[in-house]
Amino acid sequence: MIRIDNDNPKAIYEQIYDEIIRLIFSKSLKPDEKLPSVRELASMIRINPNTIQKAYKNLEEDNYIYTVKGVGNFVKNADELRSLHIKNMKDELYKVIKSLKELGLRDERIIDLVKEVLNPSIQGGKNVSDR
Amino acid sequence: MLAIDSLSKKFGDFQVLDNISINAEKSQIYGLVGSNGCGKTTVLKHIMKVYRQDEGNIAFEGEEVDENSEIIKDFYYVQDTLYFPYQYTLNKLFHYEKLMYKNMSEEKFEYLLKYFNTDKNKILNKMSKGQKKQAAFILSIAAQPKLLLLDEIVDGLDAVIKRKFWDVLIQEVMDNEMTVIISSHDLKELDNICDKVGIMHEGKILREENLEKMKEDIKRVQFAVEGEFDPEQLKEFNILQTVKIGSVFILTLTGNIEELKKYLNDNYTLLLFDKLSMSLEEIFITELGGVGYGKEK
Repeated sequence: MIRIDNDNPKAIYEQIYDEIIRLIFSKSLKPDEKLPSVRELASMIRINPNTIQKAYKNLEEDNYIYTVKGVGNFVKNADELRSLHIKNMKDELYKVIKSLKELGLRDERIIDLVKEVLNPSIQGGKNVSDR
Repeated sequence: MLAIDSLSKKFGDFQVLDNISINAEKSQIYGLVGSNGCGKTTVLKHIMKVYRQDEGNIAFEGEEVDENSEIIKDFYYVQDTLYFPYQYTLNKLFHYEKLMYKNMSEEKFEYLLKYFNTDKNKILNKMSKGQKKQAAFILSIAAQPKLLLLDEIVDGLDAVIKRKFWDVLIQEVMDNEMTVIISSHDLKELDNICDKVGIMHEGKILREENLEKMKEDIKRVQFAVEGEFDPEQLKEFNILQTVKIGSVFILTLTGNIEELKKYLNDNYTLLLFDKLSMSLEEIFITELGGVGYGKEK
């Protein structure tokens, strides 16, 4: 369920953090669902429990999960996560647009591309690769 | 916690331990790693008071450990090479050790036998190397020590049993606040599981640090720039190692990566700049390479 890539230069706790978020947004982990306990996850992926704890603590601080003392960690309600998700996706979009600009695309061309994505029926005639 | 302070030991003229200091906190998994014959086992035997140090001292939870310390009864040492009494079965050994270890738990023993699917009535000396390690590990956990010393425990265990071994160890550390010192040659096994790592070489500790911190400190990048490039100019970034493949440089460094990138960007046209991951194994090789180990003379 959680994939750790040893060739990834990101710290392990950051990878766990990213993976949990991925699972939350893909709805593999549903709102108010219990996350695996630190111990379960530590043995499952053979990672130091303190590293898992650190990832969970960061997830809690960033409002993705909440903790019920003595019971465990749970996924927050989807509505609360929505704005966070939008912010994250905005960051992703920023990266995509930035790389398109680096490829030399003009602003109008990028806007056209976005329109195409929003409304696939206007597609045709124009090729993505032309500038 | 276990605190070893400035431990030194000579066997005849040979300085086997040279001013060793080790600090392992409560419920920590401490990885003791090192080159062959560097003295890892000798350190463990000093903790168990099999050997008496020439200098320095060892304390556990603030109490000095010597041959007469009661606290040693809360330590359990699983040796690398296991010798069992003649014709003993695991069951017989359990009942014998029950007399020595006051916390030895029959319930835990039975649970672990089931979990590892081990026959307690088999003669120990007829077991394979891996089975012996398993048997010794089961006893060590059933004894519920405060300090567990594991010398090359994963050596000889198959992949399935290794998993189970870590599972049990993690549970014990979390539930019973046991401190574990584990030595191994297999750095892939210890990577990401140890809280702290001590790297030993020729009787010295080269580096002792939180594993996560160690990985933050020692980094590796690969980059390429347009035109000629002389890595000499990067001295201030504390370069530990430089490898050049074609026009791509691979640097291992302790300096700041963002500043390195900025420096390269300001002075060159940067074609490629990637951060690479560092495993414990690679950190180990870098550290030992720094003292000349493994380099041809």
